[in-house]
Amino acid sequence: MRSLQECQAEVFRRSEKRIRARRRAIRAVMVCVPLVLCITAFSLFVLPGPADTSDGSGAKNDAASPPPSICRIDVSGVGQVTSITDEGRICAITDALAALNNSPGAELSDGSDTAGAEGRTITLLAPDGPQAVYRLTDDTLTNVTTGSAMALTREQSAALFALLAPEAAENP
Amino acid sequence: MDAAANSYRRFLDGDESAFEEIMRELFGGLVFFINGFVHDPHAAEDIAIDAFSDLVVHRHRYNFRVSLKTYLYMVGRSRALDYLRRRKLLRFTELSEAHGLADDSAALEELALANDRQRRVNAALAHLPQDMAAAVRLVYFEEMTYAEAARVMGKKSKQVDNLLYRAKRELQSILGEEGMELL
Repeated sequence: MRSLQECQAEVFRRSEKRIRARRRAIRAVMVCVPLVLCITAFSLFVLPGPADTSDGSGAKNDAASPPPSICRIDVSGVGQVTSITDEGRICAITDALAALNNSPGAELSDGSDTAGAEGRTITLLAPDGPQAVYRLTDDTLTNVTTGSAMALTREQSAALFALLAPEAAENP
Repeated sequence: MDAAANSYRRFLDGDESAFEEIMRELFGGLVFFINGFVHDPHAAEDIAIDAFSDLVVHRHRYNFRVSLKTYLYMVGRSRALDYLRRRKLLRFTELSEAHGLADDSAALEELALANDRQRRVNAALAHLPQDMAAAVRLVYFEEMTYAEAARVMGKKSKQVDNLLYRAKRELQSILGEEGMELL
């Protein structure tokens, strides 16, 4: 058994130790809390969230996918193939296709035969391969990938042809 | 405010020597009280040191509404029960150790208990359940009121009263008629 003085010294020694440990723990919390807040704020505001792709529209059709995913568009006409790589034109074409896809009441019955008509095949290409294939005739736009076809007005058809024409590159 | 609480107030105001007064007044009794739970004077001393260390580390935890002795005994009891839970105290001890412990227990008893009468009761308390023995130690050895003892034990005054009544009957059967006179 220790004397009272020894016990008192031990009390103070242990107290010092516990106070130091408490200070260390408080300091760790003081550092960790702002760090966690910073990381949370960074992940919320700086990093791009996955919300854009999960809003339900992504599954609708391939043409609605954001323009940066398409890096090239191949347009095959009568015996010739044109590749469009200009970002502005790619955006314009994909936007036009998406608008036509989403426009209500324009859809024809699936499997409507447009094979005989003269037209163009539009292939949207992403870095990892073809994303969607469309067949455009004077009055019909067919999504070959999904098999759906939609009727076009004369103006819509003319606008699409104009976008796909090689002259559009010179006069965008 | 009791003398120990007064000393603690002075210690909080910066008078380091006041802590020695508290130690001198309460340390021995606390070790003896804790030893009633752990049955190991060295462990009891260790736990008592930790309880006193609480006074230094958590300076604003004691609110001066109860006596400092009651507060310290509450901390001591709680720490003793923690110790027992941690160690799941077994009765298997080396004979050599047991011999040493018996010596130290006797020394501690001599230090804490003023007279032969109390020592005889303390020896009989070993046969009583823990709560009963603790109630007797607090009320008859430490001279606490029923309310203070109840506070230390985490019970109501009436429960302490019942414990003491049953303890007296038990002591009577252990010590004979003399047991009633001792308390």
